[in-house]
Amino acid sequence: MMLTLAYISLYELNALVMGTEAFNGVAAWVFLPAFVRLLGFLLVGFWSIPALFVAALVCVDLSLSPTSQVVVSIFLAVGAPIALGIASKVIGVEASLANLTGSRILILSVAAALGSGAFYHIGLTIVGAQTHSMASFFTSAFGDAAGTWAVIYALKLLLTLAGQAFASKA
Amino acid sequence: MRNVTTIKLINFLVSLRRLPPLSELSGEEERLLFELYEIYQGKGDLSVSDVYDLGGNKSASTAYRNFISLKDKGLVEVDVDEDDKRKRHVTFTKTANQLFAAMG
Repeated sequence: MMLTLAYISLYELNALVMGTEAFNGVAAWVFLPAFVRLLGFLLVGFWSIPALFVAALVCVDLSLSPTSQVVVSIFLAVGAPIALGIASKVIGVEASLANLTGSRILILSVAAALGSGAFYHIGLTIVGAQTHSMASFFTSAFGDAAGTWAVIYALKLLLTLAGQAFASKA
Repeated sequence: MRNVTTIKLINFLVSLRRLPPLSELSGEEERLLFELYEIYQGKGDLSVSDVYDLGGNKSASTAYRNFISLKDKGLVEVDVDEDDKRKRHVTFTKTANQLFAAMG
């Protein structure tokens, strides 16, 4: 539930700041909600898929039929978790995330972006959407990675400021 | 399950906090500093050999290089043991202790 709300909130913020379907109407150059795909998988693993499905159902606005909307949402929901599941095993991320380093986060974010982009475009192909292409795939993958890291560094800044505020009061 | 998720969230936030470059320390240096702090909290004492142990066989020299960087940046100090000149104690400076206090 929290993941769905976080996704939708970031989607609305993204739409407010830069739009969400800037490339051929299907991909954005920076997509902030992609961070939730990474965070969701790291926290609850494949249990993040239902939350991502509901979020995609709410957010995807491609003028699709209800059935097509469901199909695309399913593919959007599973793409990142599948890629993250594989990547986290390959690079040896511990279940507790105790060994999560900057380079591991980078690899995971790229894997999530590519996985999400690939599955999203497979879904669009299946429903017969005409507006996607290899260029939109790379745009959405880039946008997911950029959006993920934008949120990561915004959080890092908040943590740093909170720490400094705590230290000044202590 | 909620406790496991909480631990994961904390570890995730800690990893974000250690990302460069919004501090004077590199990610590796910051990680080493906090790992040394954890060892100190467990043992009550810290020596240069603990730095090498963190590095392991593959990256002991890298760990030591990062340790020297921490020393140059005024976060740790090294003192020779009075009884055993081979042993070198590591202590945290006031700056490092302020950083640990800020992190909570």
